Amino acid sequence: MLELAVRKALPDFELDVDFCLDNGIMAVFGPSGAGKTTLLHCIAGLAEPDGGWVKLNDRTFYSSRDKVNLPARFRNIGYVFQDYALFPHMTVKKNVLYGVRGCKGKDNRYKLSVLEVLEMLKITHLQERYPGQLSGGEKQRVALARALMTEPELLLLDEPLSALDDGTRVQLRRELKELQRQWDIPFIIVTHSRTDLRALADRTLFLANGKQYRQINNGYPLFMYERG
Amino acid sequence: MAFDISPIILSVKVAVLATVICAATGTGLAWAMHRFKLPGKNILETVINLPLVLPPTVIGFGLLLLFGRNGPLGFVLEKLFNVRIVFTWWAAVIASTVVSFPMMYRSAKAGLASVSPDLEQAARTLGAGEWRVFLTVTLPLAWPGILTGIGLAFSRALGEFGATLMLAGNIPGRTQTIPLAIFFAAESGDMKAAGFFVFIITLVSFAVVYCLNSWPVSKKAVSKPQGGDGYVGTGCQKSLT
Repeated sequence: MLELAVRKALPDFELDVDFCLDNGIMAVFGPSGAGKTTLLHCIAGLAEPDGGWVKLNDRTFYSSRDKVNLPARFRNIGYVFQDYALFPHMTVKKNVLYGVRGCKGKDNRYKLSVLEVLEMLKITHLQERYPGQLSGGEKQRVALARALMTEPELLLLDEPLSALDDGTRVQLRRELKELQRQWDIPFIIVTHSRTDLRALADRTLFLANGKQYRQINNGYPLFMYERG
Repeated sequence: MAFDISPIILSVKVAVLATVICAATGTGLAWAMHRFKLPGKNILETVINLPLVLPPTVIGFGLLLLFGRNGPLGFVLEKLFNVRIVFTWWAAVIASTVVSFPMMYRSAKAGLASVSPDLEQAARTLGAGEWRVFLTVTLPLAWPGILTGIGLAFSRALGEFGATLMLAGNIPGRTQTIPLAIFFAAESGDMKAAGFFVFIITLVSFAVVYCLNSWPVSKKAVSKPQGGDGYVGTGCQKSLT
């Protein structure tokens, strides 16, 4: 369960958001420059809010009252960047393995096999290639594999489909949905595409000028709208 | 015809040492300036770049004031460690380091600035600490800039004349580097010796610049498609169903 309430001053407005997310895919929807990426950064620990709190599964990542701000590396949150941010000097295999450090066998959890993740995302044949040799869709899958290899408790995706052609976008939308059901962790997907919203979101957070809106006049999903 | 090759050995020794010092401190400082918002950043930046625009004799004079017997650093070093810097080969190393430092710093800074902050952020979300981010992401991607800085700093250190002459003097066999040997050989009319050293230093500088220019080409060749090698496991398994 992700619980958060964050405030952060941005150059033109203040980001002011609060919500809880148990599971499923939540879309953060809004125009460019609405503070969507900043919200993801605040959750992941890449930016420090000015106030509020961020809790995931009862662990406090940020609390302005208790002066807690856990660095990103300890949050165990997967993050897929808008331009994928694959390390260009490493092969796909090394990229995917980057977040894997030793065996996490303490609480009887099993370590993921790289091959399983690569196969799940259909990129096994790409493992010795460099990011510069991949198509947009392939890069997206590698970025997903890299984030999932760390066994995150929450996955954040910043405009994951925006740079892809229509065919790849439709396919990846379906795969993202399947992936979320398979992994059973909450996904937060930033998008400004209404098609993505309809196809992917179990819930929607509409963001404009840093404020969340509970109602949208055009009839699209309301804040925390629950799909049937 | 036999020439005294001690200036060549000394020059290489001085230039290598100065380059190593510059590479470590220049990259470190460039990283700190790139990464943190330091107070007085613009002033510090100006001071770092000053040796680029100041005449080497001015730098030599300043170093002489610092490291001379009555200078603050010279006095401390002599009293505490009984070490004298002026007119030793260490003086040549210091002069070369100070003069070459901006070359290294500027190149390293440009190299570091070329690394996308998203890549460093991605490494952090994958559990990497700052040191690991630097070693595995920032440094390898900034490497072309750092390597250029190393090449430029080495060439500049090898050719350093004015500041070296003022701080280290011209003592054959002890502080006489190639540029000093060229100047004093030419001045005394020994054009053959001067020509010999000119040839050597031109050859080395040519090789450094040639290597720097051709390096990115060989780097690109690394990322050619390679075949997969089957299973890449991490030892344990997890059921995903």
